[in-house]
Amino acid sequence: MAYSDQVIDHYENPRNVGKMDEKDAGVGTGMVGAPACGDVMRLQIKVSDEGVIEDAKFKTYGCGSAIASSSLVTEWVKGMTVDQAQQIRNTAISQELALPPVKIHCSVLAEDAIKAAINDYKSKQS
Amino acid sequence: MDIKQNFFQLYSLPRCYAVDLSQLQNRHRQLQRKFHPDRYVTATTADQRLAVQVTAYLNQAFKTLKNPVARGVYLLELAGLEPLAVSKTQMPADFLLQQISLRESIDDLPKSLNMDQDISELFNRLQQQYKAIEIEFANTYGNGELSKAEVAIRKLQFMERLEQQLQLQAEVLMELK
Repeated sequence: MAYSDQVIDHYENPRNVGKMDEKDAGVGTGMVGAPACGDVMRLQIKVSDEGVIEDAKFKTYGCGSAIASSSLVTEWVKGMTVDQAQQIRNTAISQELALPPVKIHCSVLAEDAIKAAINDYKSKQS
Repeated sequence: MDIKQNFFQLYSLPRCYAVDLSQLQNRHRQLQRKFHPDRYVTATTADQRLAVQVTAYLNQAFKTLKNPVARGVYLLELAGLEPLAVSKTQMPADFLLQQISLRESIDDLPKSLNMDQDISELFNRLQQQYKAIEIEFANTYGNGELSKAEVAIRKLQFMERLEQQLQLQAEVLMELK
């Protein structure tokens, strides 16, 4: 199956690969896994006191589409407020990356990862 | 034969996770012989078509019951669940952390100074965990704790994928030697 140019670009030059200190109160960590393909994704956000996402990092063990989906999300969320990031939908991710139907689940994984990271951040604030 | 029977009924096996594999294999061979399309060359077109259908059904049933993950998924599907649905991305955090660290160990293998030993140790670790998760599934499913069983079968699916990846990596590394 042929990957789109957008997927190849993110796959060959993934943005924001890395890890942040998950114990930091301003860091939210989301970890999710797709049982159908065995892909595992960790996505982290660093939120400022004003509620703006200053930085994002990810590490994904999986196929090119899963890597590209998480890479794209980390690019998107930087500069967003937490509430804006909460609105990201997998359909926007799959559209941007021109994912074929069999790879839609990779974008679902990325949406769930950012949501899980936001939930983790919020639970630390309360 | 009624192809509306579930796979367990088809082989007269109890509907539970533990399956006697030699019994499964024997019953499968018997039924396969009985319904082999070659035996229906002189039969009516309808019977011929039925024999082909039954054979396909048998093959699917055998493949499903033989594989530990597919069998568990099938048991939960019979109970009306969909354990491997795309939307089910939430897994226990400690399990995912462990998955990441195992993936890292597989990725680090090319740098290993003691490769054969590291590979066989990893295989052993994966197999031990695999067995432990199978027990977790058998127990939770047996107790009717279906949502716990669902998590267990998803874990097992992750482990199966991981083992395939290790297999692939080991083959590549052996060829490079």
